[in-house]
Parts: sequence; structure tokens; C-alpha cells
Amino acid sequence: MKLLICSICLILLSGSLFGQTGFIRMGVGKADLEADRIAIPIPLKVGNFSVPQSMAIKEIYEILVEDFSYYKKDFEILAPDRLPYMHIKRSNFFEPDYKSLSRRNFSYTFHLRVKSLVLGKNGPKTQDIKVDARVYRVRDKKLLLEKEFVISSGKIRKGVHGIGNDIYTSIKNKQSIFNSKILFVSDQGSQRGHQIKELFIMDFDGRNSRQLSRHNAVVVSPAISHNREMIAYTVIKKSGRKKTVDLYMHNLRTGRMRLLSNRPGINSGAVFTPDDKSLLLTLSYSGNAEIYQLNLKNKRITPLTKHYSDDVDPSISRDGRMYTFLSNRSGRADVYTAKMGKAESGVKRISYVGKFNATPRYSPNGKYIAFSSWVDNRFDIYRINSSGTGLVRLTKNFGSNEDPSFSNDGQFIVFTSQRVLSRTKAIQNLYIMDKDGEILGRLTKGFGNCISPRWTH
Amino acid sequence: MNGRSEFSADLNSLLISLALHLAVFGILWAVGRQWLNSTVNTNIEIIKSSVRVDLVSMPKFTLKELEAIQDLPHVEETVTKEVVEKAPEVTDEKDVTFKTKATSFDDFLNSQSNKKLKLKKKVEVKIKVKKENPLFGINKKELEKIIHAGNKISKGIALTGDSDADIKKVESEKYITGLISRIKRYWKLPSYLIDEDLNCAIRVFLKKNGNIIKLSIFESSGVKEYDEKALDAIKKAGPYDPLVEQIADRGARGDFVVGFPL
Repeated sequence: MKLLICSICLILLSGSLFGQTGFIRMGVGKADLEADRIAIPIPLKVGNFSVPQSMAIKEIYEILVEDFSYYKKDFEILAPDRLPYMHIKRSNFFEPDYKSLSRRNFSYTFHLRVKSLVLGKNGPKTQDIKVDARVYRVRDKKLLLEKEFVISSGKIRKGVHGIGNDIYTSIKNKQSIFNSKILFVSDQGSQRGHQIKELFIMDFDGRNSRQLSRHNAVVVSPAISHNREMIAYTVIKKSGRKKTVDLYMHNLRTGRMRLLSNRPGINSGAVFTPDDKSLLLTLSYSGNAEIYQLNLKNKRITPLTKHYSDDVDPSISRDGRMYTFLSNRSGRADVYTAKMGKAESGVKRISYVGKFNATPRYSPNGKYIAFSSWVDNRFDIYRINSSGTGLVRLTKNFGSNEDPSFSNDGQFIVFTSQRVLSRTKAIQNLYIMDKDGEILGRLTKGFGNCISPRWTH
Repeated sequence: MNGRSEFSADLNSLLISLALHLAVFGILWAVGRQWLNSTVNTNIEIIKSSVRVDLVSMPKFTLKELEAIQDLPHVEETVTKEVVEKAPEVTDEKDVTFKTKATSFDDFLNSQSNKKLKLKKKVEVKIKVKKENPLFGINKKELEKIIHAGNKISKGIALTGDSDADIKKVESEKYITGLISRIKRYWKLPSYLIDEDLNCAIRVFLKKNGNIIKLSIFESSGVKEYDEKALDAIKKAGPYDPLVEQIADRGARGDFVVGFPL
């Protein structure tokens, strides 16, 4: 941004810009990142393997390639069948053929050597596999990672995601999405006349989903703590004429669930503060929906908004200084930002257009806010800079799209997309796109209607 | 005698009084006018700052669609004549000269299709594409106008817009801005160069029709690969739109210097 401003200043300050003499100097600003070409030769097998182990090795390789294909703007991976053992010196599997790699413009090469893990005196007692992984940078022939992993037969995906994350971190010096998970709510199990929505969690790629809650009620607005130990969510229960909208907390480590807030009215839309010591949530016990900070230790609440209009759906920035929320104080649902601290501190309207805006969500670096907006009789997802500039559209002609949630690294967005099947039937699934709106694929299928996705931090 | 001298004295006093009144009135008028002007100007400035925003609706096009529009090749007539303008002497030794291949809109459509289309069917194909893809159903310039109107909250250009010089300046600025944003799309660096504190500048020689005549390194970054990436970005972004009248002659003189990043 600074560079862009400087570029503009350069143009404006060059006095002779549109005079008839001298140069017209202009700056293009910061460059975009060029995708790095990566070679991932198939793993070298050392020793004898059982049939399940051989299949597992194939799976290890495929998962690793699949993981890195999510970052297609950062990495270009050649079709695996074109990279059997090439670019490796025959004498030593771990000796890359830098000359050949450099000639073909490869930036990195990952080498995997797998061994059967033999335990016990009477032969193999486990199907576990030992993986020796190395990452080389071609440009300066540098070994970036040298690490041994043990992949359990029942947890292959988890193990490979871990290897992938270590490889990614060795190159980029930051965490990938490979170890992240996505919380969501599904109505799977609903029966006619009795709708239930329960909480589920799955890997970032839509695999390994498992049910977390069993309230036999409607669960909405889940949130996961930054240490991934606690999940806060709201349960809507009806008994006769009475309807309660209460906040619950689920401890993933102990498996315990407890009621956190059951004030009259709404107790919903909770998000954890970065220190996991408190929640921001919407309470309406005063007769008006306002955003409060709830201290998890002493259960005290502090109002963050104080306005006669309704303020709902908070999302907090990673540094904990700002939060964004939805309010109808302008006369319609618009996105606002405010500073954490005293009530109504630094409230700023961000969206000025759109008939109805919803679910604003901060990106991890606090630079962007993604939200959905009602346009042409459907919702679509938009992104705006947290300063209120740079409004861009991300989805279009792709069903009705809502509820965006940024990935832990800010590079991807998970969202819900609804397809109308008939006059009375529609199906809602979770999809993933990159932060610029390139749809990467569907995450859920045959899992009922899936809503409220939340990416872990 | 006395009566005459008294009349003369009264007349003098009257004239002096009249002159003084006129002077005072004149001063008041001048000061008043100055004050009035400054007030009006201040009010105009206030109005300018308050109304120079074009209110927009939600963007019609997605980021991906905007990128696709910007990627559309520049449509121009086939070049049959060699360069008329002669580029001035350049002191740099590392000149890079190349020819750009002219493309037509029909060529572009053909390149988008897997089938080889016969010349007779060209009109039909055009209509078909228009129906299938809304992007190609609209004139590219119209699309760009829509993008400007629908995807940006931009400051207005002027309050009155009656100054010819202002309009010309705006046209030139718009051209330069377009040129930069076009090059920026191709300005990419590998991960090991992206965070390096490097800077280079390339001198660009352009024909009036926007074709590149040649490029030369004006200021080198000291890293060959970095300079080459900068040259590549300018090459890939071309050919450019025809130069606007105000700067038409300066293209061939090589007056455009593009800094990477500044």
C-alpha cells in the first residue's frame, strides 16, 4: 500500500509529467509472487512392505501432492507421473540433480524415503511407516528440512498433513492450512417436523468429519478458541411456547459441555478473543441486541456497543485491537468496525452499499473483512479492506453464497453455497475458494445442509 | 465678495467630502469584493471536498472477471508499415528490441475455441460467443467504463469540468495510470527476490499506436534476474492502448520511465 501511494506521489510530484520535456517517471509498486515450481518425486521404498503398507505409501504421496495443490498460486507441481525418480542422482536418493532441476526451472524438490517400521522380535507388529523427508532449495543447493516422521496406519491423512505443514513452513517460514480444521453445523439427522442441527468438525479438505454435539436441537454460530481446546456455540430450544437461545461451551480436551450464558433473549454469535480469556457475543437481555465482552473466568460482561439500533455478529482481529460487527444503525444492515475497549469506541461504518449485508469476518492479518450481501435475489460474498476501501466481489453465478470464514493463514475462505433443487427443496454445502474468489472445490457432499463454517486459527 | 468666497469655500469642502466618500466607498467595495470572492472560493472548496465522490452500487463483476477483462488482448489493425518515428539515441548499451505480433479480435476468438473456424462462419461465431459469455457481449471500452463506475468509489475529477487543460491533463493521467496497472499485472518475482530491497527503471519507447518500439534499462538493480523480470513485465503487458494526443510524441522519444517498484 505504501509503495502504491509512493508510486502515485512519484507521478504527481514529477513536475514535468505532462510538460513537453523530461521523463515521465512512473512506479508500478510491489511485485506479485511468482509460483515456485516444485518437484515431488515418488517416495523411495527401502525394505519389504505389506500390501496395506504399499497402499499407504501411495496414499501418502497422493495426499502430499493434493495438499500442495491448494496453494496453486504459490506452487506449481508437475503431474506426479512425470516425476518418478528423475532429478535424483542415482548414487544417492537424497542427492538432487541440481543441474537438471535448474534447467527445468524448479525452485524446490521434496524427497521422501519410506521404511517399514518393524517392532517386536517376531517380525512386523505394526503397519506404521517411517518417512524420511528432505526439502532442497535448488537456487543455492540448500537443504531446508531434514526430518523423520512416523505415520500410523489409522492416521495417514493426519500424518501427511503434518509432513506437508513442516515442508511448507521450511519454505515459507509460516504455517500452512494443512493442520487446520473447519467447524460447521449440519442438519443431517433431521426428521419431518423436527429439525435438528448439530455441530461437526472436519479437516480443512473436508475429510475426517465427526460430530461434536448431541443436543437434539438447533445449534448455531459456533466458534473455536485459538488454542483449539474450547468451542462456544448457541443452542436454540423450543419447549411449548418457550424458546431459549443459550450459549454453551464444549471442552474438546475433556469432552465436557456446560451452559455459559442463558440470559433472557439472545445469547449468540460468540467469538474468542486472541488470548482465549473472553468472548465477544450478542446479548439482547436489555431489549436491544448489543455486543458484549464476556470474561470466561468471572463471567462478567462489558458492553462494547451502546446504540438504540441492533448490533450483532462480531468478529475480532487477530491482534485483538479491532472488531467488526453488523448494525442497522444506518437504517439497513451494514458492516462497522470499532476499537476494543470502551463502549462505542471508534465505531466506523465500512459498507455504504448493498441492500442487506451480513456475517462480516476479519482476515487473520486484519487487512480484509469478508461479508455477504444480498444482490439480485441472492447472497454473494464480497471483500473490503478494513479501512473501508477496495470493495471487491468474490462470488457470482454460483448459487446463494453466505457466511465466509478466512483460513488460519488468510489465503482461503470457506463459505456456504445454496443450490435450489425444486420449489420446496434446496441444498446447502460448504465450498472453499482462495481470498481472491477462485473456487477450489466443494468440501461437503451428502451431509445434509451445512452452514456456519468456522476455520480454526 | 464675501458671499462669493464663501460659496467657493463651500464648493471646495463639498468636493473634498465627495472625494473622501468616493475613496471610502471604493476601499469598502474592493475589500468587500475580495472577501466575497474568498468566501465563495472557500464555499466551493467545501462543496468540492464534500461532493467529489461518485456514489456506487455493489460491484457487478467479480475480481476474476475483472482480471479476465484486463487480460483481453489489445485489438488493433494489422500493422503493414514499418516504424516511421525514429527513436532518439539511447546511451544505455543493454537495449532490448523486439517485434510485437498484431492480433485481431477474430484471432482472439479463434484462439479461445478448440475448433478451427472457417472464415465464412466468423459472424455466426461472434454472435454465439456474445450469448455465451456476457463479458464478450459488451464492448471492451464500455466494460472498462462499467468497471470504473461499479467497482470503485473514486474521487470526481473536477467540480465544473470546463477547463480544456484539465481535461487533457486528466486524459494523460488516465493513460499513465492504465499503463501502470497493465504492467503491474505482469510484475511478478520469485519468492527469493520478492523481499529484496531492489529497484530498477526501464525506459520505454512506444509507437503512437501503443506498440513497443524498444526497451532499455535506465537504472539497473544490480541483479540481472530482477532487471529481466521487469523487462518481461513490460513486454507481456504490451501492446498498449494508442497514446493520447497530449503525450503522443513523447512515446517515440522514450520519455516513459517505468520504475520497479518505484
